[in-house]
Amino acid sequence: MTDQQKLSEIFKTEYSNLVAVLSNYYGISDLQYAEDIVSDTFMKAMKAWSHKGIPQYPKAWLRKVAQNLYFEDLRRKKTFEDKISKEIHPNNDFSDAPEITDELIEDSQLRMMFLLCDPQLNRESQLCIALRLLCGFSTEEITKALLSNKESVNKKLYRAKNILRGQLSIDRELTLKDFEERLDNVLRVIYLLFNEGYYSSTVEENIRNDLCWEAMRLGVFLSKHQQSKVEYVYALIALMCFHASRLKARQSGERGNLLYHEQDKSLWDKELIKKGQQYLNFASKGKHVSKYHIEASIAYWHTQECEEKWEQILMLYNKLLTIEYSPIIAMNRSYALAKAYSPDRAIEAAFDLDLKENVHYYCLMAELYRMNQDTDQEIFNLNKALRLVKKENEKKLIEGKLESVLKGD
Amino acid sequence: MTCPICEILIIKEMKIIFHNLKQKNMKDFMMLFYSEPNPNMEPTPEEIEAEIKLWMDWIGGIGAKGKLKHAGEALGFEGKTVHSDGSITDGPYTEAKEIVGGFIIVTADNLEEAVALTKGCPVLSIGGKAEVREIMPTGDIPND
Repeated sequence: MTDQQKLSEIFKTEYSNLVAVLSNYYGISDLQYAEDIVSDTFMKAMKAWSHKGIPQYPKAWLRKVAQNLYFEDLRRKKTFEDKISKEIHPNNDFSDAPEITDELIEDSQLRMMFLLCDPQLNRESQLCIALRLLCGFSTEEITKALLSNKESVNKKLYRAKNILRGQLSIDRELTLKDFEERLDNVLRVIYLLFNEGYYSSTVEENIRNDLCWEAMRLGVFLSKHQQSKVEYVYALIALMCFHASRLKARQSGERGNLLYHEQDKSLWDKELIKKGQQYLNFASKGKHVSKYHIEASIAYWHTQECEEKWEQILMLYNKLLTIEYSPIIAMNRSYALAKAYSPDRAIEAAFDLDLKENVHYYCLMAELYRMNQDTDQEIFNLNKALRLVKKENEKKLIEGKLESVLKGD
Repeated sequence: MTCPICEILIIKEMKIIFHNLKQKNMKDFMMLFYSEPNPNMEPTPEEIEAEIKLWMDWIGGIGAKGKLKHAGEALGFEGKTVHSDGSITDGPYTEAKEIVGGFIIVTADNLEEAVALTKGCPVLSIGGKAEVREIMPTGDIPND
């Protein structure tokens, strides 16, 4: 890893940590202010490290500097206030402020997750602000992750910060009810983060392991503290474990990003699969079944090699669709239909899908026709996909398929 | 959610979901399934499983079209009927030989479309029937 990459990774994780601590423990009610301090900290780091290189404990360095910057600023303000009025605000007493420790950061992050998923914000705003503050995403990255545009993301961030002003402090007590009501959104944010890592929409390399691990860390951490519906959290962790078990195998080829059937199965991480099974077991002991339970079960079957799995997978997709509809789930179901019954039935079902602008839809159609040995239709659909594809490496993939089908292998 | 072929995790469907939530002018229809109960039938666990699978495949198909509102319930054969004079009789069936065995709720633009969704319904292949009825809106109760 180059220094540049290392640096951006450190900044990314430390950004959210610092903002969380500053607002939660030092009582900064203005998010913009907390963000400014963190930015200043990074500026200082860039300057200092460009001469001397990255220090041995870069995170500790950043934490110390952020803390100092904040206190300096506070001191300046306090002097100012003292001169104008003799009042000293009790909240600004920083003499016994805690050091920024790992424990403090974990605790702040947990609080942050729930505070950001405030029901006063709509779902998309919650996601925007969570991606910024928990994951350190730039506006550009949020835009791509949510398939939105820059202007609307900026607007949402601005509005979210305004609504959250004053909400993100240590004084704001989170009740059991908050933890219960906001859990769904918190889980969605974690899953989105994992997704972004598993198949990045922002970078060409597609896979950003650090985000996957970060999402899993947040999940495990959450599971240790969540009291109600903790089985949902377990199910989500299981789901992430099963997917993450293939990360290494996916990246092992020269091209990177190997497809499922191209992967060397001996590279699948057995430990993670086992972990996933454990968590799925925990999850099934709970009272409720969530979509994460079902998705985790599907992901489990994908870690297995037997052929009978497709009937199970189809059944699970059917069940998933009774809980929540999404055209993507329906699309995946049609592939299971092809495997469990016949490509004909799958093609019939896939025709009904409203995904006519989706690259992967045409890839799926091409695959279904390939299973049916209908070369003309396969080529037709691959060409359609080629017209819609945006990412360079996906384009290569489709071109490769097209080439091999034209050659007649 | 991964796509099994291309190893692509997809949650970026957010937009599409939001879009679907906004779809208006769709109506809800209840499908009621009638069949003649056979008291002598004692299915094996495998037969029950196969039966459930048939139903789930069909219901999943409606779900895959985005037309499933409620996955419904299956009803047992046993029950009692309470009459207006206060009397209670055995069995859910009084006059008709066929009884309601279950229901699901679907959404569709109109009755014709809802009726078309019954295609492949397992009750039809055992000589039963499916009744499709529009659910009347009952005021301004929010959906959520």
